Amino acid sequence: MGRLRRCGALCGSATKLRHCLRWNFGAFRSFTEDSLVGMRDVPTSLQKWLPKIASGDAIGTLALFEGKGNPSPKAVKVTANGGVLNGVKRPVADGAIADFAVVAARTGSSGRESDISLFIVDLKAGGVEVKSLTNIDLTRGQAEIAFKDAKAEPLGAPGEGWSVITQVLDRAAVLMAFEQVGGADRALEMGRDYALDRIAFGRPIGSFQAVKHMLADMYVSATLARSNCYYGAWALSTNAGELPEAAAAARISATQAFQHCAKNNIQVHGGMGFTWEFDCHMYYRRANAVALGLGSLSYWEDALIDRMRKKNAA
Amino acid sequence: MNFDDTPQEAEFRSIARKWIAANAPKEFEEELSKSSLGRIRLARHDMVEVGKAWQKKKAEGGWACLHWPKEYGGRGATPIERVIWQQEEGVYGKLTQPFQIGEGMCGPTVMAWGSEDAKRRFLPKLASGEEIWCQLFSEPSAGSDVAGLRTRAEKKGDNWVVNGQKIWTSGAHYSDYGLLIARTDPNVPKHKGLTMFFLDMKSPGVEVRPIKQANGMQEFNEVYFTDVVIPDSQRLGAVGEGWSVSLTTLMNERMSIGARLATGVPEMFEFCSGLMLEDGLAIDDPAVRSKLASWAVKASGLKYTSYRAISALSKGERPGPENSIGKLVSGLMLQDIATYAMDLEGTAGSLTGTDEEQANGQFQQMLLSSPSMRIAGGTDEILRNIIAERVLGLPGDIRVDKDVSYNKIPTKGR
Repeated sequence: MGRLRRCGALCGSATKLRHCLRWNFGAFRSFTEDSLVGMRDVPTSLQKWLPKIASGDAIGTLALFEGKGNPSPKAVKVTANGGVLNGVKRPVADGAIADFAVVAARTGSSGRESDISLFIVDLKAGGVEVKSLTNIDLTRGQAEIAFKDAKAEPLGAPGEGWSVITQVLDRAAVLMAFEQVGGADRALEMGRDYALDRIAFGRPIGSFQAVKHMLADMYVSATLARSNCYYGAWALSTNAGELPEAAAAARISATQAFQHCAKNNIQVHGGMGFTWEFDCHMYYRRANAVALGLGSLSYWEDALIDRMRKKNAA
Repeated sequence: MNFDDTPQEAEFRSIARKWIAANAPKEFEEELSKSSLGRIRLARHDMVEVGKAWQKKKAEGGWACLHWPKEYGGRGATPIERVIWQQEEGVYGKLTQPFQIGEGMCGPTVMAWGSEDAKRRFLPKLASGEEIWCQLFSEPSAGSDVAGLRTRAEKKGDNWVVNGQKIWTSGAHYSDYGLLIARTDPNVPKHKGLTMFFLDMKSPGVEVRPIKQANGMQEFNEVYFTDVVIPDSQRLGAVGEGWSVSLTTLMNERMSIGARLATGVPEMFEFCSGLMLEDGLAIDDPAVRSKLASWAVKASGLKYTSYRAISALSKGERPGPENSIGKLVSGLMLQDIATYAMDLEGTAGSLTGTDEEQANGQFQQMLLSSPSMRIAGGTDEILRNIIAERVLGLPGDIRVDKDVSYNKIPTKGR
């Protein structure tokens, strides 16, 4: 599937909760694969996984984080020595159902980005211990993966891991942003529908300006996010030099829109919005979990400003 | 969506660029680039005169109102070409300020509702800047509730006689013509008794009085009408159809205001990149970066939203209510940016000097001017109602004045 069509599919499926549940690891898987498949020379370590990814027989994930904090080469403590990995990754999205992981590990101690390299690890092999973690999003699993002399095959050239990670995160940001916009739209739609149906004080609550204006503001943030996402999709699909800046803008805008819409959707629903039976909390949970999935909002804000400065200086 | 020029667009851009390089008034380039947010400062020249000269030159070269048909003073250009032109016109576009109400609102209304004679007589001169137009809608008792307006027009033979008062009329003091909505029948519900006209602002009985604004400037006016005579040939649309006609104007107003909207973001980015705080540059401070980034994505979101609107326009669709978001987002953003920029300057932020440290005083100006952005051309609240009702389909508020004849509507509070 072309990248543009994939953006549309992510956005569309997020608007339907059932699909959203079924497809809960879709976006994450999609971007790891997208980036790996995009490599010019497919490394031998990856070759055996590709057909299985395509047929749906294998699920891959990216093991990057090690506890609190945002993406940073300094935060990578898992070591790679003599073809084996040692250390712990958490949280790893879909770690408990994944068959293999792309792992960022430390291969040097110079304090530079070139200390980080990528490896592929078969998660069903020895030396790998996977433990499910609880998290606010009940529909997307997180796990801890401990490596004890786990066998690892290098992916790409040594020392180039971090530059690949950076590119993967940018691509992921655009794809995930479409999921976020879809979620924001759906939360807005739910709030609007409820405001039309719910009668209080003898009239639909959507006729009160306090409610109406809240929904209008949700529409505004969802619209701004969608427009930023289109630009991101263009940059992604054409491999434009603007991709880093466009990806950060799409990510920030979509994160804010989804959080804003999910939060206000509960408010429009009143007490019903705070019940387990209503779906509002699922969007609220997803909005806030996905906001952290690729690094937090402040991480991307920082990245955007750096990238804008770079462009202005050029 | 494609963000690169097609070969035709690239060629158009290069022609526009060459023409501007050869013809633009370069002596004003520096002053114009330092003037921001619709506030043009030319030390030794009258801005309207400089603007008129540039507009005339553009008209002669075929670059004025370029999306209008050729017979009415335009170029017959596509919406995309218009955007390319605006990008290339750059700082000189600031000189078009006195013509924006005419080009953006009055012109399109005359184009949609005027007779062929009126179009041929008035539109080319409007396009060339030779005649400036203003919009006479708001009244002291009819702002957001503009359909509640009181200015009367009464039929006397082939003419109409107008009495009443308009307010917040931008540029009335240098305008040649005005688009006027007036009440022609007070005995029917308020939306049904209105009629649209245009008139010569030099007509006997028209009195323009400047309003000194909260920011100390004088851009708006009160306009009084005392027995002003307007020929029936200057009526736009049928008698009683004024509300429908005004919707053409207001819809175009939103599109026009949205097109060159200032957000304050480039100015703020530059300011933070140069401002030294105690611990280093402002732009290296995490709190500053976070705010800047949130504003930057709003500005880029607006930009690409307007591209989407242009792309819809180029497919022949009319500007819709969704374009209301531009002013809604940027008005508040300007106010927030100004407040924060001054906060970064500390106590000295309250000073209004124009020395280097004060970033030319632009944020102080922005602070004092931005409240009007959230009111003029539809308040934030009216825009939210429009989005909620016309885009999201939510029900209107319960109206006590809906089916009541205009002269029975209460006019006093307490």
